[in-house]
Amino acid sequence: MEKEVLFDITHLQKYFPIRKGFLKKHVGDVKAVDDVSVTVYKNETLGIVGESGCGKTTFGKSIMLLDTPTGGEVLFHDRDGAKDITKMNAQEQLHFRKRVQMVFQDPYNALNPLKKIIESFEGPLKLHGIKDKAEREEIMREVLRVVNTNPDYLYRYPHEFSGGQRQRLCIARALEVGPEVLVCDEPVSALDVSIQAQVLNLMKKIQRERKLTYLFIAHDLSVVQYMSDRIMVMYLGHVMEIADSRALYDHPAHPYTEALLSAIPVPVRGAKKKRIILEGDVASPINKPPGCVFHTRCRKCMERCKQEVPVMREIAPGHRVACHLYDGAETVTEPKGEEQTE
Amino acid sequence: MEENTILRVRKLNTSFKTEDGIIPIVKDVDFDVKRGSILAIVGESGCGKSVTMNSICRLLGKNAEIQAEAIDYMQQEADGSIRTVHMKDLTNTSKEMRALRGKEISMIFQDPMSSLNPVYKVGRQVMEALLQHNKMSKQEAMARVIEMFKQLGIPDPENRVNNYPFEFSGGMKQRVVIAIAMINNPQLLIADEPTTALDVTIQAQIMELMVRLKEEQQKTIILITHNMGLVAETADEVAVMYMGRVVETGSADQIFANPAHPYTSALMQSVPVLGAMEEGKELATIPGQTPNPKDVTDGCEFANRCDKCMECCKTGLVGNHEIEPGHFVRCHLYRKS
Repeated sequence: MEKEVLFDITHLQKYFPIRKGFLKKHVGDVKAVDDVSVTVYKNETLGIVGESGCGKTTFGKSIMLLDTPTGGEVLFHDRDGAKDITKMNAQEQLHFRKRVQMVFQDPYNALNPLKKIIESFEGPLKLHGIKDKAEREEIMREVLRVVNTNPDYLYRYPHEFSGGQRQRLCIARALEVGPEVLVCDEPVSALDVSIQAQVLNLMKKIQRERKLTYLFIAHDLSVVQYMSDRIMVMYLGHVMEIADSRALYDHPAHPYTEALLSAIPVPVRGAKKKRIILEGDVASPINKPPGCVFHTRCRKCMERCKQEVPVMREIAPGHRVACHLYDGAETVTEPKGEEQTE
Repeated sequence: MEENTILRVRKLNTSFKTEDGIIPIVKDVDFDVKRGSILAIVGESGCGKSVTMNSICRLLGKNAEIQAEAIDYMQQEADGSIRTVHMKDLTNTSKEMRALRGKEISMIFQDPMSSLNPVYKVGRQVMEALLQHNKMSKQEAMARVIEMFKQLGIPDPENRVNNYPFEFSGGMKQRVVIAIAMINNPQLLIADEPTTALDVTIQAQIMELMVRLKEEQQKTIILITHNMGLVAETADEVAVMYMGRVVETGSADQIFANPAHPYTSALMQSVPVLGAMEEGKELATIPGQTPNPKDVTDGCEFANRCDKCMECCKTGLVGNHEIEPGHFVRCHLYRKS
C-alpha cells in the first residue's frame, strides 16, 4: 500500500545563539538540532528516541513552529499540495496549527492552576473561530468523553485531578480543534507505571478512531517501541538511524542504537543479554566533536569517524543509518517517500 | 533468626500528623535483609517505600510517628563478632544513631542535582562525611577521597575534587553522591531511586557499579525503585509494596516466575517489554488510580482496583501466606482452607 506523505523534512536545523557581554556579542550556538531529514507518513506513529539533550524535543517543537527552525525545510502536505511551514504567513500558520497539536511532558505544568478546565479549553476553540458558546461546550464535552473522563470535569480546577487524569485532559485539549497530527513530547514519563499503561492504550485507541499521525517523543525505548511503527534514533542533534520499530529491535545497525537497546533493563528474570556499557557522557552541543558526533563514545570508532561526517545510507528497505561501518551500502541523500515500499 | 541477616524489621508503622488527622503511611512492614545481597523494594509513588527507609534511618520530620516491634541492625565488630543494635529505641539525633548513620548505614538519594551543595567543592563535601566519623587530618582525608573517586570511575580524580557540582554531568554527580555514601565503608547502602533522574546509558553505568560493590566488597544494598527491569537484573530478594503494606516478598526468581499477588502480576504486565510485544496487543492496565492514603478504607488496600476481588477482601485484615518456602503473599486468594 502506498503511504501518503505528511511531512517531508530536509536538513532541519535549530541553533540557539549564545550571547555574551554588554553588546550581546554572538559567541556561539547551541546546536540543538543539526541536520535532521525524515519523512513522516499519514496515520503512522514515528517514535523519536534519544538521551536528554539529543534535540528530540526541539525537533518536535520546530516542526510545529513553536520554535522557528534556523535552517532546512519542512514541507507539510495537504490537499492543496506541499507548503514549507517556515515560509507561511500568519493566516496559513493559524490554519497549520489547527492541524498539528502538541501534548506536553508534564501534565502538572501544562494546565493553568488558576483557571477552571473550561477556561483552559475554550482558548483554542475561540482562536480557531468557533464563536457559538453552546457549540464550544458541545465540542469540549465530546473530547472529554473521547479520553474517558467525565464531561462535568470542565467545571473543576486542575488541582482536583491526579497526574493520569491531567494527562487525559491535556490530550483532550489537543484534540478539540480536530488536528491530524499530534506531537507527543514524553507524554507518560511523569506518570506511574500503572497509569502509564492506561494512557498509552488510550492514545492508541484515539489514533485508530481519529486516524491521527503521532510523533511520539520519549527516552524510554520500550514505550516508544510499543507505540511506534517507525523509530528515529537521535544523538546530539543528528539522526543516527531510522527503521521500522521491529527491524530496529531485531537488527540495530548503528553502534549507538545497539548500546541504547542493551542498556535498557528488561523485566524478565535471567534475560541478561550482553550489555554494552557506553563510556563517558554525551558531548556538549556547543562544541560538537568533528566527524561523527558519536565517535567519542563509540566502541567501533575508526580513524575516519573522527574526521568525516557519515551520510545516511539505506541498508535495507526503509532502514537508514548514518555510520561509516556501512559505507559500502547505497547512499541516500534525500529521503524520498516514494522509494519506500510496504 | 537466620545467621547472616544484617537488618531485621518487624511491624514497622509510620504515620504523619497532618491537618486532616493522623494518616498511616507505612503499615506493619516486616522484612529481613541478608548480608551481601540486594533487596529491591518495588512500588509506585506514594506506596511508602521511601518513608519506610527514612523511618529506619530516622530521617523524618517531627510530625512523623514511628512505631516498631523491632528494627535490629546486626553490626559486625572489628573482631568479627556481631553486635545487635536495637534501632527502634534510638532517637533521631542520639549519639548511637549518628554513629550508625553514614558510618554503618548510608543512603543514596534520587536526585543527584539536589543532593549536593552547589556552593562547595565536591571534594570537601565528600571529605565532610569522612571527618564526621574519623579523627584524621584534612590531607589524609583528601587522599582517601581521591582514592574513592578513582574506585568509582571518576576520571582525573586529583583535579576533579576541586570542581563544583555544576561542573559535573548527571551521571558523574551521582558517582559523587555514591562516594559520599561509600567513603566510610558502610555495610548497608540504601539507594532510593538512584537512577531515576539519569539517562538509560548512564543508568547502566551506575547499576553496574552497584552490582560490583555487592560482588567485590560484599556490601548489602537496599534498592528502592519502580523499575521492574532494574529489579529483574540486579535484585536477589524483592518486596513489593502497595499503599504502605508489603504485599509480596520472596526471592527475585520466585517473584518473576510466579508473581502471586494480583497487584504484582498487574504491575508486571503493564510495562511494555522491549522486543517482546506482540503486534497489536494492548498493555494490561490496572483500573482506577492509587487512592489518597487518607481515604484508604477497611480491608485490602488493593481491593477496589483488583480484578480478583472477593467479598472477604473488603473488610478486615489480610493475612500473610507462605505459598512456597520464603515466598509470602498478603492476599486472601492464598488462604489455606
